[in-house]
Amino acid sequence: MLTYAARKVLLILPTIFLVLVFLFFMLRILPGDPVTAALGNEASAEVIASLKKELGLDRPLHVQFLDYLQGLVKGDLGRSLITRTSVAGEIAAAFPYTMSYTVTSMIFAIFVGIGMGVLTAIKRNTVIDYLGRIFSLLGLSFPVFFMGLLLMFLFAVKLDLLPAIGSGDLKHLILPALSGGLIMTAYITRLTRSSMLEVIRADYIATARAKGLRESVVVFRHALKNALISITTIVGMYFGMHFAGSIMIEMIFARPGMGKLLITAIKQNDYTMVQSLIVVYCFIIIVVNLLTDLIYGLIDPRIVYK
Amino acid sequence: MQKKDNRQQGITRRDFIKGTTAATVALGIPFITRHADARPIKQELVIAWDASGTAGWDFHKVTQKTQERGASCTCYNSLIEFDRRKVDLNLLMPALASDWDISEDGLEWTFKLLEGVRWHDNYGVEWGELTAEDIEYSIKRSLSFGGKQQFSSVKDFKILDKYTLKMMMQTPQSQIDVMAMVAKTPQCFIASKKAIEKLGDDFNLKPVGTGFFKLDKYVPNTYSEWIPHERHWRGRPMLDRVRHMYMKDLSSREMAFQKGEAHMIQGLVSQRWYESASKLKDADPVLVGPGSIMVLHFNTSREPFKDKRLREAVMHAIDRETLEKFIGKNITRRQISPLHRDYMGYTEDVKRYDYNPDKVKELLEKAGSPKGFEVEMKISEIDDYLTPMQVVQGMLKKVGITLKLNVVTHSAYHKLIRQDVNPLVIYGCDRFPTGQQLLEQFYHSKSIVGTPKAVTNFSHYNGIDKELDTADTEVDVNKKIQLWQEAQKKIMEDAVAYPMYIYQRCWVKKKWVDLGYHFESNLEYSPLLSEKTRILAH
Repeated sequence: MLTYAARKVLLILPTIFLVLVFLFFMLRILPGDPVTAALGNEASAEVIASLKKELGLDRPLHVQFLDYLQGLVKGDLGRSLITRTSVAGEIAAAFPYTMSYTVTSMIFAIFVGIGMGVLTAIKRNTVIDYLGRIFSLLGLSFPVFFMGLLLMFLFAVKLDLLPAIGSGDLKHLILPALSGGLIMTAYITRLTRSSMLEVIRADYIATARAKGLRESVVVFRHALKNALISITTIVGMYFGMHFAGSIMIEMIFARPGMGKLLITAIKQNDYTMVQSLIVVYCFIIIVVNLLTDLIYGLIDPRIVYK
Repeated sequence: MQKKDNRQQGITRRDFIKGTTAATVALGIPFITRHADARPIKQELVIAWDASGTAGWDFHKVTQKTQERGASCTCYNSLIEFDRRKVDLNLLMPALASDWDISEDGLEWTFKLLEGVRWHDNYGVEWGELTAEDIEYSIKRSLSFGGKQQFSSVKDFKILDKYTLKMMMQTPQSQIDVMAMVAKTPQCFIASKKAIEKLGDDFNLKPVGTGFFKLDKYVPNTYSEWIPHERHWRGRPMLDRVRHMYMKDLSSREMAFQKGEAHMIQGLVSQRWYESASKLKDADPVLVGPGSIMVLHFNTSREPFKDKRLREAVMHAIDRETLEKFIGKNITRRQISPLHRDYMGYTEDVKRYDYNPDKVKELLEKAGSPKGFEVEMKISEIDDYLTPMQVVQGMLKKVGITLKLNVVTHSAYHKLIRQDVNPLVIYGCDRFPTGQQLLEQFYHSKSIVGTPKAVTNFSHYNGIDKELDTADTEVDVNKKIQLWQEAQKKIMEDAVAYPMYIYQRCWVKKKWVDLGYHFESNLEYSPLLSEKTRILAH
């Protein structure tokens, strides 16, 4: 397992390097540049040239790239071309907000989604099943920004139970986490239900029942454990997507976070900030995928890492 | 027996409890009410901006867009400032300069500074007192960045003493020219030399000014919080805290406003929004005048608009009233001259191009295009530009002129129009409220796009260079005005641009937010706070 993990970790480096090369040159091909973003549309060519020089953007592209790469190797992500602050510092400040949102909504989605999935599977073709399926269909149909606005309108504006915007305390996390979590719940519910239905029909479940085991033991220890492989795959995949997709939630609920940092950086053509954020995103997604792979082995001892 | 006696005397336990409760309540109510009335109102204001973040407040190096200006106007001061109430050159008032003097030849300007103006004590440092050295440093720094045009006539500086600075000009300058130089935000703000030198690049997100609010906290791309500058020379502001939130999503801003978590929100430049905003809870909609002027510039250097008759045909094909109505009756104002109607030197005595389809036919025939012609242009995705051009497109179609609109991103549009790719350019702008700057940047030959000192002369017009150059060095304000008016007449006579309308930004604030003054207009696109801004009881 350790060799497998080490090999996967080593694969991170070339992956990130390739992403970086692609991103570095793509960003510079796109229209607009950080100097115009900083100085505005009416700055004269003279002033633009002077700031470009100050920021080192007048140098050949390969020199800029090597310079950035050198910094990256030393752990220096550089400074924002717009705000002139340390990119690492800004990412470090934003990271906990995005992570807390992602983890909270995923925990909610895992517990409720698996619970509902199991329930709808064992109560197949009953009212509970129909309600669960309607709920998951609704969840799948709602874009996250709409869900966010809907919840904000209901719980913050109409019922006045929760704050609408901000990020001060736990109360501020409820609506964002619910918005993302409910949608994720729908995915997990559907997947758990179908996996459970497949497993429940298996011979070993019939054997377990024939042995006289309690239904809860049959469902949770035998059926769910076997259904967990596919659920873990989807949870791992969605964790990365959810983390990267926090942008809508951060915009709607005026929360700090990496998504907001990224969208602002893209708008301002802040090359160093965009590059570094994408590197961090890549790293997180790769790590989550690796963890997902390792969790398979814990769930199913038959899985062997080579 | 005893019990009976007591009852006879009317002093049972129940009566006693009832009596004391009633007395307590009776005595307590006025106290509670008085206490409630006396409860201090939280003097904390939350403003939600239509922005995903801020680029910072180093106004020399970073363009101060609407969301930055809202804060920087309360963080910094300039030598002379506009009155918060209205953009009016007669209402310019001393700020950091307590007095100024002009030499007879208009070549030397001496500014006497207010004494005892303190920089924000912030980031654990006492930045000390404002001196003439800070003024010289700020203007020189501005000259190396975006303020090159603004301070182009400054030749040199001489510090006479700690509080007196002399500015030597290259050419004679009138009172109004110097006002334009030192009162036009944001390049004219004064920043602390010591702070910039010590903080370096960090100054951008750690601004040090003399304004009545200083930065307390900044959460990247989410909000900035400002607290009173206790030692502000006009006294401590009434608000205890101001939070500027960067909220790109309009629905979120509206809901935060409904909930009372945001007290002033930036809206859309839209009649529909303006009307719907007035229905929000405790809403007081605000229009920010004098507004920006929207102009359609014809590229006279290339076909088809090399031909004046075709330019005139387009102008006569535009139904001004319908256009204004479409954009919104409350948010637009009539504009028929290339200079903003509220700017010094404006004249309405210019050639008008009223809506006249018959005249269009006649002009098209004369130009040899009786069936009309086709023209293609790039247009920005943003509503401010796209919507009016779509309306114009419909109007032109009626007279046989086909206008093809190729939509591009806003930044690409700005880049492309400066590369001179468009035969028509729609552009909204505002400038210091006199004729010189606006006319020079859009109609002087030195500003023609594609040239080294290019600014925004998209029409390639060179017919008013003489008027503008003379006005630039003229010290007699009346003569300046005359020259600017001549220039406007020529522009309209030569049909190089079509002034469409003036549009105003829309905001909504809570009724119980008292700005502390009667707001009419400013050049900052938002209702600015003052030291008297406060939250009223509600």
